[in-house]
Amino acid sequence: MVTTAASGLQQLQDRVLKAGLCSYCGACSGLCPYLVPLQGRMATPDACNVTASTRCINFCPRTGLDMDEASQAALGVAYSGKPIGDYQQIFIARSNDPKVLKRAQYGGAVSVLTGLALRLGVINKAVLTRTVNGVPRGVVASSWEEVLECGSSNYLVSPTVAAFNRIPASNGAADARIGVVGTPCQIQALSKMRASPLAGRSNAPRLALTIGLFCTWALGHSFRTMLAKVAPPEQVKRTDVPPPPARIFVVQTDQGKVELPLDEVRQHIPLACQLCADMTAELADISVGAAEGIEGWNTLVVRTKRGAELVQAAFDQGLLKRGELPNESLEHLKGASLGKRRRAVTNIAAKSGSQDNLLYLRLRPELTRRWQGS
Amino acid sequence: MSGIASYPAGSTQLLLGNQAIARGALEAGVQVASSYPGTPSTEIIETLAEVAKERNLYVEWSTNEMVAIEVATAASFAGLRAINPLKHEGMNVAMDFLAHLNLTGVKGGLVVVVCDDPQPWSSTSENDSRLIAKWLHVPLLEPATGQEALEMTKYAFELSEKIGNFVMLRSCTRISHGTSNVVVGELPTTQRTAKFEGTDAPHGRHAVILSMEPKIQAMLEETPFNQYQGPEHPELLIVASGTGRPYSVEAVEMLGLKDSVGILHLGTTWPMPKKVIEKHLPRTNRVLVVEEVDPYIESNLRDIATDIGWLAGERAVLGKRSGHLESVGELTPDRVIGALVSILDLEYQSTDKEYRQQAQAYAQKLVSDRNTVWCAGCPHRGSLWAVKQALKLDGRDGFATGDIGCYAMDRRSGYGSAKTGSVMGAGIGHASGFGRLGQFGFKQPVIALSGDSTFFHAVVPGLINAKHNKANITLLVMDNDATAMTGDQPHPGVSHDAMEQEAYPVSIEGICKGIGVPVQVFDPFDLDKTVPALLESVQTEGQEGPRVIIMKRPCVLLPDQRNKEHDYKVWIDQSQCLGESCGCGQYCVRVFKCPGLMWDRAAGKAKIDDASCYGCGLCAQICPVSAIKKEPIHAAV
Repeated sequence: MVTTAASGLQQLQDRVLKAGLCSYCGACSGLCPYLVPLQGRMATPDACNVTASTRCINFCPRTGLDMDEASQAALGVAYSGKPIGDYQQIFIARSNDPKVLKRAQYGGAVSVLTGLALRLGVINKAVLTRTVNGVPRGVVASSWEEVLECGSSNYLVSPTVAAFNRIPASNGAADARIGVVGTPCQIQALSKMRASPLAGRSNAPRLALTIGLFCTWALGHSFRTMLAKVAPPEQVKRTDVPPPPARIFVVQTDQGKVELPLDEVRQHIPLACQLCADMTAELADISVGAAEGIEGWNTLVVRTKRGAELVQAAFDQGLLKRGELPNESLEHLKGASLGKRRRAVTNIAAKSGSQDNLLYLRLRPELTRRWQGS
Repeated sequence: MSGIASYPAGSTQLLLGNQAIARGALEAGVQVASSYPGTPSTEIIETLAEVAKERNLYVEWSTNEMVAIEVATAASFAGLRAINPLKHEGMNVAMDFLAHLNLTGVKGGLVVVVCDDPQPWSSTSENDSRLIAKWLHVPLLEPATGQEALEMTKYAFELSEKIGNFVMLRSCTRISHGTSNVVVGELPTTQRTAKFEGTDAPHGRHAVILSMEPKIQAMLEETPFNQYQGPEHPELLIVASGTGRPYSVEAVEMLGLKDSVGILHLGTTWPMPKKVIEKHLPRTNRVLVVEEVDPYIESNLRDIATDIGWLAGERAVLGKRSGHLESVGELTPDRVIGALVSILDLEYQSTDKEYRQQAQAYAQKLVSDRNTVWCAGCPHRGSLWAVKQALKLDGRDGFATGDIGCYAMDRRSGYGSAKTGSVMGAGIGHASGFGRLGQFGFKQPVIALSGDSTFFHAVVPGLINAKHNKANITLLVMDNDATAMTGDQPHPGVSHDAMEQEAYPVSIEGICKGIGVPVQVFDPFDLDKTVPALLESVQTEGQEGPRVIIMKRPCVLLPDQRNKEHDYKVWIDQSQCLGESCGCGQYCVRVFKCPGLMWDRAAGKAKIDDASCYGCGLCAQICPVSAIKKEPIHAAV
């Protein structure tokens, strides 16, 4: 715990927000009136005066993320730094429910697993991301219908962890078992929160399940302006980035399909995403992404015992269909993930001006050297 | 009979200076009075309005000061006596017309009372209105006491009719708001009938009014308002006007200088009473001029002293120009004492230094450290909280252009959104200009602030300008059913007038719609709606033209609001209050800042000050952990 003359908010502004490190995960928000996520940016309407160790700087993954501490808190093991993190199983899967598949981005595994976790009582609240009028935000779902409404992605950064933080600690929430579906930065934030000395002043002790989403990059909210030129937000049904070599961003609207040049879309990737070394949400109980080249299927990476139990229950109940991930696809996934690690450490060093200064990222030296390719 | 009309002739009454002016006007047979509220002039109209019905007067709070002087002038043109009280800043508004009226001339006696606010206590500017009399070539009278305020007002009406022009009477805060014994005179028993028979056109009349000046000067030389008091040949002659006169008397007495310092009291200060000055200057070699604000008499006296050949050799005119007195801030007896001590090289200590320090230390313990803030329950707190939230959430360094009203406190002790603030109507004018700077790279959102009275006073032309010229801005009108800052006087939007008679309420929303501006109306206490509405309004990219948001809720100081039962019982559950810790940081008492909220030092938590809390419940909306509870007192709320 750090106590300085500057308020926690001021430190967060200086070290993260103004420094361009904020990935808009929402971990600092939902805890006080001073940090308000709005339109892809953390707004700070008033100056906070709390100079004691504050939750915002303690929970933000970008004020410093010790990967060993985070991995211990999330997975119970030291950080291995393997290309797609530590895992017990990896395979492909898809929902057996056509209703789910219709709504889902790929194979519907996330919706199925979340719904099942709620039904089994593994969790009683699920923090998900829902897009309304083109703007994604965190919501708390407690029924299957609410889970289904959150299917699919729009690629925009979302302050989903704020919704996790906002679940009140009183009013019976003491017995809350919360599940969170999030991007790698959001899962990192939850892991750091678990490891924090201030964890007791958060919902981290009530975190019962994390489902991570593969993420190569996300888009800043400036992209909404570009998208609005193609279709009004309420008409956008689905967006997708087909695998290479297609260099397009597909927008499915009521009127049909529109393709945007991927290079133009990528102009809207925030700097913060370019400094992220995690593609597969390596600190989650279960990580889920597209099964590249196998349309309508998900790749599932099961990392923990509770993740494995939930996935097994889904198979046992016939909710998910399982398939093998071809070795070639696994190698490709590992290659892509390592590529993101390498780009991140290169970009961080470029920003810090030193190979030895990884800004927020705290890795054991041998891992740093491995990722830096030296 | 009531109020100032009830005092029997010859009786002694304890009156405010402004009440003495009103009684003087009544004794002179005034029939019409019009003004726009402005401290320290407001009580003149209020006093006359009280007796309007029984004295058959017409008294109005006009839309603005220029309309007010034009209304009063109409009465004068029709042969009636009329009075037009203004504060110094209101005088500036009226100037466009007054600078032509001096050429046109008047028929019935017309007295313009200008009340300056040195320091300034209740104004955004400090200036000296006396220079206007010199500029316009109209007579200027400066009372120093309540009695003189009454006498000079009566005389001003006589003089106005004799010279066929309006007369300026200059008061200032301490004259207008000072209370003293005043012997009142007879009230007239007849009234004039109004009939208009035309006026002179102003152009070509400059020479006429210039030629009048020596005649006016001769008349003023004869008045009893200029008097010498002191030894035949004083070591120093004080020439003083207005508050400078009683302050000089006090200073001379305190320093025991009655035998060595004389005082020339000047009550008529334009045209300067040259003969009076010529008569008294030769008594001495040194003159100290004591007057409120600018070295106005001092400069004019120098001219006369030079013209008559007195100012030469050892002789000196001392005052503000010599550095013995200051042109900034209010005149005080201490300042006069300081000047005398310096000029006469005296040993004098007004108070024992140690005693003063002890007294100050003791006094400091009795007062708490706090800013000027809006009243508990004030609708402006809700409105300007929403403005701050919207602009800060938007995050593009947006700002509000301020205006004149209680909401002007936003700039210094409120939430700080307002970055400008000078005169009424400037907020929308500035915004209109900022809203057209897009072609030069200007990207900051702009919200113009306005009150309801201000809207009618001077905002409408700026709004029309913004609409016509497609300025991309938001205008926020805070409609609290009154001209609140000066004491809740009526304005054209309310359904009664200054005389408490029924009046037609002009709709602000209707005016905006007539101009073609999109309008939304909210309760300023509905933050869930107002913050998103303002945010949306400032984020309307590339929109052409202004949008208006009206925040409607009455001023809590209006009699019916003040006396009604509170809407909510409000309390703080200290077991939930986070106090100074992470998650709050004294958000309610430190950031939201309502006087109804207090800091419980012992508990380290917030609490409600039941004596101040108005029970509006607004604070319950901003507590981050809902520790501030509210419960409707009436089921209907």
